[in-house]
Formats: sequence, structure tokens, C-alpha cells
Amino acid sequence: MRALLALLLVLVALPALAPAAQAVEPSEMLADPALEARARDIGRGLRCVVCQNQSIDDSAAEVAHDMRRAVRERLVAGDSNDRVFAYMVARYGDYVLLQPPFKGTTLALWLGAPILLLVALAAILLGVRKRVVRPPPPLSAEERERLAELLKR
Amino acid sequence: MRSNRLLFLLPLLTLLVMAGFFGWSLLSGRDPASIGSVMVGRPAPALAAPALRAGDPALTDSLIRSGKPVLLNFFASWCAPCLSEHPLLTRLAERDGVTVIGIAWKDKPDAARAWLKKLGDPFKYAGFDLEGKIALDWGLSGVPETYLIDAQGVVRLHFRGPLTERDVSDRILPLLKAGS
Amino acid sequence: MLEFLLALLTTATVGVLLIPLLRSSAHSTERIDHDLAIYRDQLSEIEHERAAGTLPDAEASAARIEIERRILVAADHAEKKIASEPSSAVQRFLPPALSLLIPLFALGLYLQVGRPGLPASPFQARIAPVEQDQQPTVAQVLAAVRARLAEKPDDPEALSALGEALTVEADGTVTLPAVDAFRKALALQPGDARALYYLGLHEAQSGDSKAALERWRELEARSPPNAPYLGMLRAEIARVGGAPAPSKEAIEAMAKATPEQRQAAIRGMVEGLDAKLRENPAGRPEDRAAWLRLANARKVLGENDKAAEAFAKADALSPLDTKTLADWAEAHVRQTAPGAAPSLEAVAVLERLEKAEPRNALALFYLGLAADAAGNKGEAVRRWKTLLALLPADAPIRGMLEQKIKDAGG
Repeated sequence: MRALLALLLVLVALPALAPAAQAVEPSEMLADPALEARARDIGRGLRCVVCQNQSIDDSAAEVAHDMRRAVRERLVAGDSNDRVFAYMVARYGDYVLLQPPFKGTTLALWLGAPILLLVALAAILLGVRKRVVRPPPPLSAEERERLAELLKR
Repeated sequence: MRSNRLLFLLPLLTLLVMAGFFGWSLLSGRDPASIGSVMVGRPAPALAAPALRAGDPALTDSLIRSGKPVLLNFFASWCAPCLSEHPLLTRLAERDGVTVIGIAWKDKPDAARAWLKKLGDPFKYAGFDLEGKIALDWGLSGVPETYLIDAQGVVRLHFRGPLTERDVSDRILPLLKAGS
Repeated sequence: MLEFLLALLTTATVGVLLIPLLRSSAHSTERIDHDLAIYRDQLSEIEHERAAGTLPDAEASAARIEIERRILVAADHAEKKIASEPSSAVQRFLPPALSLLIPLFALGLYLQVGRPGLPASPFQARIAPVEQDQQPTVAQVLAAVRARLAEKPDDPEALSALGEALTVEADGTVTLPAVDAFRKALALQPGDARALYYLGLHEAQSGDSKAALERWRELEARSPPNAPYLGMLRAEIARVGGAPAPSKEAIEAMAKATPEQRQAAIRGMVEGLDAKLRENPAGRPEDRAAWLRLANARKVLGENDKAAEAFAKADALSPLDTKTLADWAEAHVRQTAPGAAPSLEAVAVLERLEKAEPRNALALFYLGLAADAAGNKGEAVRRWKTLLALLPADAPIRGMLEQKIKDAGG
């Protein structure tokens, strides 16, 4: 039974662990493996602008192809990773970044979840403390009598 | 006990807030797929493209910085929405005297030329961008997309998708009128 | 069959909702015994663990007290329930209310949105026409039309067909070459419906809905009522004209208005149109369609004199067709008292109507009346006898007509 469950878990988790389908074509790749690895790093962080939630490395869209090529051109020209990102942001805005930058308009996005988590943890801790600290008061004589009657039924 | 009860209301409250947000999203006409444009309000990117029509000079940056507003339209012969906005571009060029520049995006020049021959050619200047390199500088996401560049060479409007009658009458023409 | 299925579904739905309601009443008294059994088990478990030494004394007594309190609370609840039976009223009325309200609600909803009259549309039937499509392709049509134009370059029909084929080829966009073809066709044959329709479509596509609507309404007004393209034309007018339609508030206000208010609102619109048309310089041919609209509206409102006047205005711009002539004549004769002879203006219109359609009942009857009043009994009898022959055997006015013929000495 346990083995079956473990197998099931692995099967469910597998798609998340496996590398996503790559749309990068061999013809696009750079000869220099170090540069190509950087290009992949950058490509995974850039959003394909016509497919909502895919990186340009995962997307087969025309625009994604052009963007991958542009990334490689910038790298070959000697740009740092940050400058390549800046190059894309200048053209498509922050939207193009799969990981949004940390700034005023994204405060709620970045801090919302951790703050909620902290609040929930605090609430749970308080509740537990309350329960542990207070021992229940004993039953009154009246209550005990009634209880005995009930349990006799 | 009292505070506990209020705590039970919390999920309900969260649900209400979310439902409110979804309702607002649906009703306000907000397009969640809209990716906006960072081009608007900025000086137009440099323009350089080979000419589409034989015998024409290549497109250069001076065309969009000539002291006159221009409309720059990216199109393709394989693009169906481009068909629907084509009469609007023709009308802008013919009736309103707008300088319309066309760039065929990822389209074989032969196919683009045949398409223009079939439909009529509203473009005062036409170029092509087979590789999509020019388009990237303009932050293009696909075709059709249209940019209005004012007399100072600043992008004033950026439409993603086909133009509509409203875009023309409510946004493009008023801006052109104000500029001239 | 459908009704039966619907009834079955409704019954099943009500049944599912009623089952827990009917069942819970039976269980409310057994519940406390059931709970007690569980609590007893828990108490003995605590005792057991304490005896075994796995539970410290202090914790065991705390847990014990907790469970004992729960027993008391459960007993309190059960007693309260039995004493006041708050659910009894609910239980008595909820089932019948539910079994009544749900079917009623469902029926109301169905009447609102259901379309029982919609014909079945099996998949087979829907794909069949596509498979059997024997229509020539656009390329074939284009080739044929071009061949015809090569022989006869000034054939308006062929030019118009060329424009249409070019438009179809461009997936419904009226291209510039198509516009050229239509313009040429129209110059050669003014009033060509196809060219007018597509030029309007071109105007709509190039951002001039106003011009398109004007052109289309004009075309609609002068098209014969059985023209095959009228349906499409009206659909296009509705589609393109939909943009500046009356606001939602205006429509809602109209729906809520009393009949008198609505009548007043319509009258206001009609008067507005009338005033606008009178402001325009006389003799504008593009006003003709509007005059006809005004005339029809007046006629519906029962203002026959004003309707007749509007018809006359439209007629002056370009002579009316038979169908509209009949409407005009009707507006005239409705103003005459029963039995009285029609006015001179009415006679003029009726005579034109008779000329256009010699067997028109309205013209025959009223021109007979006019002839009779003028003393021309023979002419009156001839018309009425013609009319009598046209009428079905059970027409209610036969008797009246035969009497009139007899009175006139026929």
C-alpha cells in the first residue's frame, strides 16, 4: 500500500520535476557552451509576450524565437546578463520578466504572501498557547450529578 | 469566544474580496491579456528597413523624424486581422492624408507585394522585416501592430491588434488634428 | 417526450433535496444516544491509558473534564431541540414549499430562456451541405467574370460580379480594386443593388459607418419587398448601426414606460424627424427614404393626413412603387367618412394605383365610390363587379358590395 502511494506521488510530481519541453532549436544555439548556458539562464527568465505564462525558451512562438536570437546576439556582443534583461525590459517593459522586479508597485506581490503566512502562524501559536495554559475548571456538583444520570442511560 | 467567531468569518471575507475583484475584472472591460506598451511617450526607436517595392529607396530614420506625424504599421500577408484593418489604413492615407509607413513582418517580399496588389496599397513608404529584428526594437508582439509617431518623433499611440473605427475616430484623428 | 423528461428531471431534483429533510427528523432523538456511546468510549480509553501509564494523571483528568463537559453540552442541545422543536415548523413547511417552488422556478426559467420550438440540428445534417457543396470556387468565378469583361468591358453586371468575387477572395474585405469595379458598375447602371451594398460595406470597413448606413437605408427603402438580399442588408444595417444604438438606460426607460408615455416618446421622435426633414432644402433625393419612414410611422400612429403628406413628399422626389402607392392611397381613404366619396387627392393617388395594378381591391372599391358620387354609375358598377369577381366566396363585404351594385342600377 505504502509503495503504491509513493509511486503515485512520484508520478504526480514528475511533470514538475522534469525539465519543461524546450523550444530552443539546434540552429539557434551558440557554439560556445558557456555562452549558451547563460543564454538558457536568461531565456528561462524572460516571458514570451504572446503566450501569457511561458518562458521564451519554452515557447514556439515567432516572437519567442526572435527574442532568443536577440539574447544570443547581445551575449556574443559581450553584454552581461543584467544588460540583456535591461535590453528586453526597454522594449517590452517589466512584463517580459518572469520574476517581477522588487519595487513600489510590486510590494504587495512580493510581501503579501510572507506577511499572510506570518499572521497565520502567529494566530496558530496564540491559539495553542491559550489551550495549554488554562487547565479546565472542575465540574460542579450539580453537573456531576447530571452527568452520572446521562451516563447511566 | 467572540474573537474566535470573528476568525471564522475571515475565509468568507476573503472569498467576498476575491469575488469582488473577479466581478470588477469581468465588468470593467479590463483585458488581462493586454501587455501594455513601454514605447508610448518615448522617442521612437531607430528605423531602418529595406524597401518592399522595387525601385523605392530604403526606409530610414528620417522618415519618422520629418517634422510630420506618421503612422507605422506592421503587417503580413498571412495575417487575417491585417485584412480587416486594411480599409481603415487606406482611408487614413487617402481621405485624411496621413503618411502611412508599412513594414511587412516575417513575410516574403513577393507575398507581401502580391497582397498589396490584391487589396490596394495605402503605404507611402513600405519596407520589410523578414527576420523580425526591426520589430524587436519596437517591442512588437505580433501583427498587426500600429504606432502613431508625432512630429517630434515621439511614439504617441501603440495599438496591438487590428485598428477599429473607434481607434481611428476617437484616438488617431484627434491626436493628428491636435498636432497639426 | 421532452416534457416527460423535464418532469422526470424536476422530480429527481426535488427528491434529492427532500431526502435529508425527511430523514433528519427521524434521527434527532437517536442522536444523543449515539453521541453518548462515543463519549463513553473516549472516557474508557482515557482511563485505560492512565492505567497503562502512558497518560499523566493531570492531563488525564483535564481530558476527562473536557469530555464530560462535551457530554453536558450535547445533552443540553438535545433537550433544547426536543423542547422547542424549532425545526418542526421548518420540517413541516419546507418539503411542500420546496416541491412547489423548485418546479415553478424551473418552469419560469425555462419559459424565459428555453426555446422548445428550435428544430433539431443533428451533426449529420450540418456537415452534409458542406460535403455536397457544388458551388464554383472563387477562382473559377473570377476567371469566368474576367473572361466576360474581356469581351465586353462595360458590362455593369460583370463589373459588379467582379467586385463581389474580389471581395470574397479577400475574405469579405472590400478591396480597392473591388471598389473600383463597383464604382464603374454604378456609373454604368445607377441603382445597381449589389454595387451599392458593397460600396456601403467598404464605407463601413474603412471607418465611415454613417455613410454606410445612409447608403444602405436608401437602398433598403427602394428595394422591392421580395428582394433576395434584403435580409442580409437589414442584418448588416443592424450590425453596423449597433454602435451608436440608443443607450441601455434609454431602452430600459422605454420598456418601463406606460403605453401613453411610450406613445408620446415615439411621437416625439416622429416630430423630430419631421422637423429635421422640413429644415432641409427641398428636393434632396437622399431625403426620400427618410420621408417614407416618416410616412409609415405617421400611418402607424393613425395620423393619416400627415402620413399622406409625407408620402407626397417622397413621391415628389421620385415616383413611388406600387406597394408604397397602396400605402399612400390607404392613408388617404382612411380619412374619408364611411360611405362618403374619396377626396380629389385620394382619387389621384388611387388612379395611379389602379394604373400600376388594375386589379387592386382598394383602388377598385374607392374609385367605384368616386365614380358613383360623380354620377358615373356605369363606371362604378364595372369596377365593383370586377372587385366582386376577385373576392373569395365568403368575403364579408360581398353583401355590402352587391347592395351597392344594385343601388347603382347594375
